[in-house]
Amino acid sequence: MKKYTSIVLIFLFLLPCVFAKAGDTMYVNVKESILKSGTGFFASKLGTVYYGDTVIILAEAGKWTQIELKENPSNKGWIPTANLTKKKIISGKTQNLSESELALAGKGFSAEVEDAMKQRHGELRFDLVDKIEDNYVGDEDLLEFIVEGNLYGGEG
Amino acid sequence: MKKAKSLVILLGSLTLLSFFFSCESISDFDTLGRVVSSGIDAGMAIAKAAEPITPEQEYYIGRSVAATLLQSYDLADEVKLTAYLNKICMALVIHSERPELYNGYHVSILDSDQINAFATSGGHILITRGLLSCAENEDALASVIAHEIGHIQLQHSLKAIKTSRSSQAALATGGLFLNLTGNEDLMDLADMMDASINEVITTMVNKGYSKQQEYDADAAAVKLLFDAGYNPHAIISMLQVLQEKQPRSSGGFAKTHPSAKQRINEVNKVLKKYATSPEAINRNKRFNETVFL
Repeated sequence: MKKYTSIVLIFLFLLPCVFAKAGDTMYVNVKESILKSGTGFFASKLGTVYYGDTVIILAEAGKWTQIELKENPSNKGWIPTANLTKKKIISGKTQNLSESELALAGKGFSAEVEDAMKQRHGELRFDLVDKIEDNYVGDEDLLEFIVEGNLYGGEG
Repeated sequence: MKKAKSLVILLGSLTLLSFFFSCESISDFDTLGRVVSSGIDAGMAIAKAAEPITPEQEYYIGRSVAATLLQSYDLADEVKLTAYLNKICMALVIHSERPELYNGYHVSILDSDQINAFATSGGHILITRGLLSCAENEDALASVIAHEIGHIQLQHSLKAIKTSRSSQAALATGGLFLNLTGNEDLMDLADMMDASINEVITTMVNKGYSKQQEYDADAAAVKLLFDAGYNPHAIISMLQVLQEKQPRSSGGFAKTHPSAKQRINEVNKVLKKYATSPEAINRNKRFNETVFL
């Protein structure tokens, strides 16, 4: 019986995820995401949202979702749906945290855990990982590369 | 009891149906799918079952995996070629469901003659000089990168982490029922990280992914190549070169992958749906100008 109760609870827990719709609240789950004017990678930039930002869903199209920042609705645009989650993200800058939420801030496999790993294993080459992450392709360079190579620029 | 059972079956079916029809665009679809089945199998507590690995955790696990791999390899100092590979990578990922990850995708070259490539859940794609030298044109090079993107997006490296451990970590992370404070808890998380990294590295370097995972990464690569405007059939030419070179390569790629011949057979089934397109002249030109290995 306990087993069945768990399954029912899981279903109830997942219900809100299954039916994401306009008006729903979601959270940005990537470090930063550019707000675009349309559903294409090269659509013009309207602003930026950051990890843990609370947003309201306005519309969905393909793999893109149109959102507005809850605290500042004039800040709106399209971002990849994959950059959003229904699960509230507790980050350092999240405001109005309850005591229990505060206790969770920064927990998990995070920068804090990485620091602990660095202390334990001085031989790990995080310096080279940082170097790898310095590789960055600007939008203009990428577009030029795509056009020159007769490749596709994505929808929108 | 019977009534409860029917209710469970009904709710279960509804959940599954909802996944098929409406949850596909949500990033943690795959993880949630696994959560449902593991929840049923193990009868886990909901706090454990309902916590997928978040993109942030994917990223930090990936960073530690890369930092571990890079104890054994140096990065090649090839600025122009590295920039070229990163452009190819971006030209591919912008067509995928996950164009950005937590902190994007980054390609680097490993200064090694082995024929091998690694991809971490943090978006780090590491390709050896040896493997790069097997590519005859940009489209073939793109097929290597697309295969690695496939591994990342299908979360293959994370699947190497034992289920018990990920639920343990999820419990600590989600913290719905735990109040984690203090240094001791941080050390517990670092222990879990240590163990998880070991499991990922063991699979990635020693055991290799399953054949099915390799075939799935190839199939994902074909779709990405096609969507980006590359010739998806270029993956065959790349695999043919590997087939010739593999016996001479000790360790590396040959050890961790199914044979190139097996992969050619499997990917040919997928390629039937895609027409061959010629490599663009400009792509060949810039390839020849950039690749000087």
